[in-house]
Amino acid sequence: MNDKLRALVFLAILSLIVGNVLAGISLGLQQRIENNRKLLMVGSLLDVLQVDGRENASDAELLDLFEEKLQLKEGSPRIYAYEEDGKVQAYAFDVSGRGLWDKVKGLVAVEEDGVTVRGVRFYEQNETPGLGGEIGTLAFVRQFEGKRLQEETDVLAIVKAGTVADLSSTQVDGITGATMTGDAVNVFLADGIEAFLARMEEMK
Amino acid sequence: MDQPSFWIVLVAAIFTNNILLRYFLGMCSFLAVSKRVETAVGLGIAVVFVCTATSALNWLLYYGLLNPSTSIISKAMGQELDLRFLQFILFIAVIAGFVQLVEMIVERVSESLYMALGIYLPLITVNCAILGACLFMVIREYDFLRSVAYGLGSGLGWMLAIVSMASIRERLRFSNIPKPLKEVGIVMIVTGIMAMAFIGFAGMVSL
Amino acid sequence: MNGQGSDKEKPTLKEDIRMGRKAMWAGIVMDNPVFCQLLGVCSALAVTGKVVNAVVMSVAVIFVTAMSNVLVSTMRKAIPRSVRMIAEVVVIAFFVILFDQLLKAFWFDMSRELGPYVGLIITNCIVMGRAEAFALQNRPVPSLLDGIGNGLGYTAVLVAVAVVRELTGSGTLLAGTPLAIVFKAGQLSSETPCLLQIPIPFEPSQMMILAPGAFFTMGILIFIFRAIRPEEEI
Repeated sequence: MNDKLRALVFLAILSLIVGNVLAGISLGLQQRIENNRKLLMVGSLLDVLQVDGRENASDAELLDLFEEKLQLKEGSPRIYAYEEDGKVQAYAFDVSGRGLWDKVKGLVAVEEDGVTVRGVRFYEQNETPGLGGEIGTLAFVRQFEGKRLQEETDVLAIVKAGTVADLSSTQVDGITGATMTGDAVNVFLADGIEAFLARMEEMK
Repeated sequence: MDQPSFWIVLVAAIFTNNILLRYFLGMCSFLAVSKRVETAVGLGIAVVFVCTATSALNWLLYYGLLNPSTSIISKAMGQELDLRFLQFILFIAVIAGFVQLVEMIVERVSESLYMALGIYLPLITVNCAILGACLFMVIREYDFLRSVAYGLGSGLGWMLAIVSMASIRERLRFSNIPKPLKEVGIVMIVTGIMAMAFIGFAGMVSL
Repeated sequence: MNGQGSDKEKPTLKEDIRMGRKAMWAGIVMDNPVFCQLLGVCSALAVTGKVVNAVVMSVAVIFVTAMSNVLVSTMRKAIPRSVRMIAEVVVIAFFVILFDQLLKAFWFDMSRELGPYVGLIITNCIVMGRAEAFALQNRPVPSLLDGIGNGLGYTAVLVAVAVVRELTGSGTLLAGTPLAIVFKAGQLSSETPCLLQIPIPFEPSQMMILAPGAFFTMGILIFIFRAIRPEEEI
């Protein structure tokens, strides 16, 4: 029928034009968006490893820093080695898993000895704002600096807020009211550390 | 340790991450259809069915056609083609098409089912919860099985919310609600209380 | 449905249902502008935790409503009646995807904060409602203004909820922008800049930042609104 045909042709032409314009725009923006995605991880990596030169650097400069100074050792788990003048300064590895609500993604950086913590960042999390969400703040993760991944049989873990007076080298004080988030983090943190240490042994 | 298990995804979607009570999706039909338990159950069942099926379908189409690294188009062309920007249109088209299809099938197959359910089907196409569930599934990078779990869970969670609201509203009819608060206003507040109750489920899925 | 009902003795129950439910949905929602405005805001409540997020979301809605109104209006004589809804959806989707891509390219963090809610503008009752009710019958310039006007109405509600939630839930306003104002005694956080710090010793309520806070705020706003203007029917 003429009407139906006309309708179909109209829709086809409209969809084609719309599709093409969108495709063109998407293509043009693709590189920027890809960079933004990369920067999410890169920014946190450079931050947790405390790479020189990352302050006040533009996005492009950050990506360059990432290319130059960081070396990815493929495999499972992924380990990034931060090298300055050919000498390894620090390592970083992923820790991720389920928090109280959703997935939490983090990075742990250690000094060249492979045990002392250089820094921790949780760059993606959806925990309760003000409570579990505090794991995303600098103030909280600063506590990890200088701690050890493992000491004999103890693994780095978050303890319930205020319950331990003298925190050992593998204990970090938790967030008041966010014990469950802390527990959840401890689970995947332990797994990540175990995998990392195992891989470091292999690489020796 | 990367992705939560099928059951955790399912249970979390129903209780702790309830798509209506935590993510505010599907409010439209929720406000309009939650007056009687009977109709709420009917719509709920229809939503569960459509949500689960379209989550599965959309997952297949997203990873099969749009996602550059896995799409068959990329493989056929020999280079990666990123069509992810089309996901909104694709998902809506699939949902609308699927609902139409189901309508036609139900009408042919069972007269009584059509009478019972048929009314609700066009209401589902406009239900943002279903589109929302598909979008979340992509953002969270669930694999196929977990996407089905998530679609099923979201639908069930939505149904749980609307049926609970309907039973509360049936009783609210006998309360003395101030005129400006009647209908939508009081529903919002009750929903808020329900949302508070559901927060209590946090931590239920064992870690 | 074609108008051949006169041939048969009486429309069957099936046909009645088919006609009835389309009318039901249209009647409850689309023909009722106030209710439709309300529903349009509902799903976006998710982004009302921070004023800056609500503002960006509102800009998205204003952009999409205005632009799709213009495009639909420009094409209104060419669109065949039978597929007009599909054509509207295609146009709306075009602008939504456009905005989403631009946001991802130029303000990636905001795109992640808003999540799928920008995409959900496609199902937003207001956008579709204006295209159908106004743009199809009017010229482009009035349609543009109509779109902007409705978008601003949406903005008012969304930002109002966000102001209440952010203030009572975090004790800040415009957190995440250089214009942030912090009201409670204590700092936003060490790394984000803030414009003003006004130390008022009040403890923000966690609940307002979570979902229930949005529902309560919305309910109370509706209460106030309808108490002031009782003639608006919902």
